[in-house]
Amino acid sequence: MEITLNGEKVNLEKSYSLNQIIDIYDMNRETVVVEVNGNLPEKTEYDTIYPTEGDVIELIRFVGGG
Amino acid sequence: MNIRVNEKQVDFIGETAGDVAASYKPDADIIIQNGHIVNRESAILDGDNIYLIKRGEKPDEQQMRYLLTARHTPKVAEKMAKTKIAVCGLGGLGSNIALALARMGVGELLLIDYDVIEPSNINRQQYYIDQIGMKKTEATLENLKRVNPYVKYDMQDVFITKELIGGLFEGCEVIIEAFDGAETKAMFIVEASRCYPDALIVGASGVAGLSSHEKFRVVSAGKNVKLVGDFETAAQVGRGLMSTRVTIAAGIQANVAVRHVLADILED
Repeated sequence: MEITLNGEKVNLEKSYSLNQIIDIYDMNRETVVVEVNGNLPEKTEYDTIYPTEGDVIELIRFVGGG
Repeated sequence: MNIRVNEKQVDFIGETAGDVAASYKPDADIIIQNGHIVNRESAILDGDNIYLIKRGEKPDEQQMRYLLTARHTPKVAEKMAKTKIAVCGLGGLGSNIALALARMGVGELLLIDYDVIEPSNINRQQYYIDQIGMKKTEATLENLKRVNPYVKYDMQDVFITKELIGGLFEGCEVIIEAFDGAETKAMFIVEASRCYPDALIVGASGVAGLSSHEKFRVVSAGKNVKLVGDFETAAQVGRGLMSTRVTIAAGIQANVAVRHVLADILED
């Protein structure tokens, strides 16, 4: 299954939830915001949303300091 | 001849800036003619714009509006004065953003923080040594009133939780996230974007340390979010928040907000 992740085409052998994708990329579930096809789903939906073929995903990393 | 004196159109009889002062504000000690400070001998021409100032005297609301309009142009000043913007967190980002927006003459500012000023804040936050120990909301209000007393300030001394977001920002054209914690930032951006689809949400990520300001980007997310930062440089041991860099990020956030508000007026 091919998706676009942070601007690059990525092949996934199976469908993963948004939280699983965050884990695969060794990022922190609490501090990453995921954009799916131009939308920002609620963080509570990250376990139930499974991107499908052709989806465009952005993992946006928040770091502390302000 | 017809000239404007302190925003009022007058039929002036006389020749010099000193004559204008004598007629309209004898105790004035500064005379501004068409945007430049002049001496009392400066010749007055038809159509001139004169501003008479007494040192230490606070301009009234109408004069303040004139001062801003003269700098910002009428369309910009009018639109800014009708706009409400929220700033969440009054630290290195938020205290600087609030100051910039007060100077821009925004109509209403909703400013939120639960914290107290600590000595370690002074290296970058818009507070003064004599304000250490004060609530950030109180100190910010004190400082902003010295800059622009005619903004409507709504100070909220609260800790923002996810549950509160839906009820806080009615009427805000822009909601600015200026928190410190990464988790709070991520939570806030998603929830504010969902609760206020008609507002622009402006956040920040990656503003610590002294890396080049050229690493800062403005990234769009979702339908109504813009994020400023390098998305990498977290505040951590050995990499603190620095005035020079965090102030630039604050300036970018404030400018993104202002450009959104003025989108119909700006040409680029």
